[in-house]
Amino acid sequence: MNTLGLLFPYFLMNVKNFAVDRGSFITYGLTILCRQIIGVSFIWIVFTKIPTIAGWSFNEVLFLIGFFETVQGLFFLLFAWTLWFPSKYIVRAELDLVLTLPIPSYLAVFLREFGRSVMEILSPLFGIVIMIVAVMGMPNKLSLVDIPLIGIYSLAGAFLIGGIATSMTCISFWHKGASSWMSAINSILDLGKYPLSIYSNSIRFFLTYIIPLGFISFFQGASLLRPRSYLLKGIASVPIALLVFGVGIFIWKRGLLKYDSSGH
Amino acid sequence: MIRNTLFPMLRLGFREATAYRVDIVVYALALIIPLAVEFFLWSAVYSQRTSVDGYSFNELISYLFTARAVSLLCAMRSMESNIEQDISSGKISIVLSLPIHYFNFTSFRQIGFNATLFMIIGLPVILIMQLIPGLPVFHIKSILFFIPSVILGLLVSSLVSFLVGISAFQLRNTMGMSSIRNLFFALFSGILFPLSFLPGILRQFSEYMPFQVMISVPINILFGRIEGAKILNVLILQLAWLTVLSVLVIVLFRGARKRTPGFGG
Repeated sequence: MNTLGLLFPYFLMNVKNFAVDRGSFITYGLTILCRQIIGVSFIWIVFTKIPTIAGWSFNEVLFLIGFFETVQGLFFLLFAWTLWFPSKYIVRAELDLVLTLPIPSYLAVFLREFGRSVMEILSPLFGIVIMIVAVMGMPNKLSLVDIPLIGIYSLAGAFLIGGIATSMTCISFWHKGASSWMSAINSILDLGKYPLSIYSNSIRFFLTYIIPLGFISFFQGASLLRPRSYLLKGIASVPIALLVFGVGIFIWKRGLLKYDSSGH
Repeated sequence: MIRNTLFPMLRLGFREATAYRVDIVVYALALIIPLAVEFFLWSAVYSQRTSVDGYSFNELISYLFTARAVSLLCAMRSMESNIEQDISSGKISIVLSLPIHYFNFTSFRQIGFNATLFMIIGLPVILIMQLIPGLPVFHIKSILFFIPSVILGLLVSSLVSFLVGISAFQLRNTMGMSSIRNLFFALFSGILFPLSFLPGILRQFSEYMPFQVMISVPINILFGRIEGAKILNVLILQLAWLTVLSVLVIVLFRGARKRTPGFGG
């Protein structure tokens, strides 16, 4: 309980550090807005050529993209630190300090970084706007029951990416030198952005069962739009996210045994 | 002048690009994964029709792969953040005292970096696309006109990025300007789709932007979609953009330099 009590003070401190430069609020918001305009305009232009893609209408794909942006934003809000973990905690060895704290190391790093990427909160907000616009254009609306489901499902997606990102960032425990592979995560996530139905069977299998990027947002979103064919996979997203996150924590613990601070 | 100032900057860029070999893999992934997604997305579109705005599936895929490969040469994102860092750290006052214009200092470093990435990742992609049967093959004449066109596109791109970078004199960080530039580049350079896919008014708008001469113009020359006398027209258009932006850079940079507090003013 004491540990959770640290959540708010850390959050406040990091937000204050961020807010020192007021200009960064505006520019960060602008960056997120531009990113989303690119995504939506691209899919809009594709749909000016054709009414449906692999059986999905424009509004359905728009809804899925809104869901994807929401999940991605939540991921960056909670786990953006995995991107700079290798350079900050391994190369500059700030992990030394963390290991002296009387709380689990993963939680400690999470707390120290919580709130640093606070502006990513805009991403889910814009994502929700996209989803609302998409639902307005659909013949059969979603029911009220779906709203808490969207919350649970998007958290599941965020923790799934969190697990994958944790596993990736842990590579730095074994290989200190280069820390740039984390910048590949944005392109990797793009594989789960559009309906999985566009991929060939083997890639669809790969993205469902091997590296489950389909559970970032697609299966959850699809289970809300078409419960008849996707309900089970939508529900499965929660245990799968927990499993992948657990794997991340497991690799983290193995990696800690390898950690030998700086100067070796 | 060129041997003493520009070559060292190009070489610096080359060294930066090859310093970490893992980085090359990351850049390759950042190129190939979006292309794979686009490939499957468009193949879902083309399963319902055989041609979109005069592009067959093979032509479009070849276009998209080549455009991404060429974008390795033209995208200058790290140049913008390099300028921002120089300005915010105060290092700029040292750089400004060097006998080289700050534009040459930053842009040729980035060009050397980009050219290296293009040789290692982009060129192989283009060559492989040439060997796959059924995909469009480039004519020698098109390639000869493509080379000056892509160099002009590269210079226009670096001028635009330089303007974005020196906006940090006023705005302190370039992130906002950078993302606006990125938005226009994504939609109006022809990297995500051929510009003829844009609906009417946006397409006209794209013709008045410098972004189309970065990717769309050189690629369309390479694919023979711009040919004959029209090639001369687009090369003149590129030169016109180069001139206009150069004047802007010289004027604005002179103004910004006068206000640089680190420079004794």
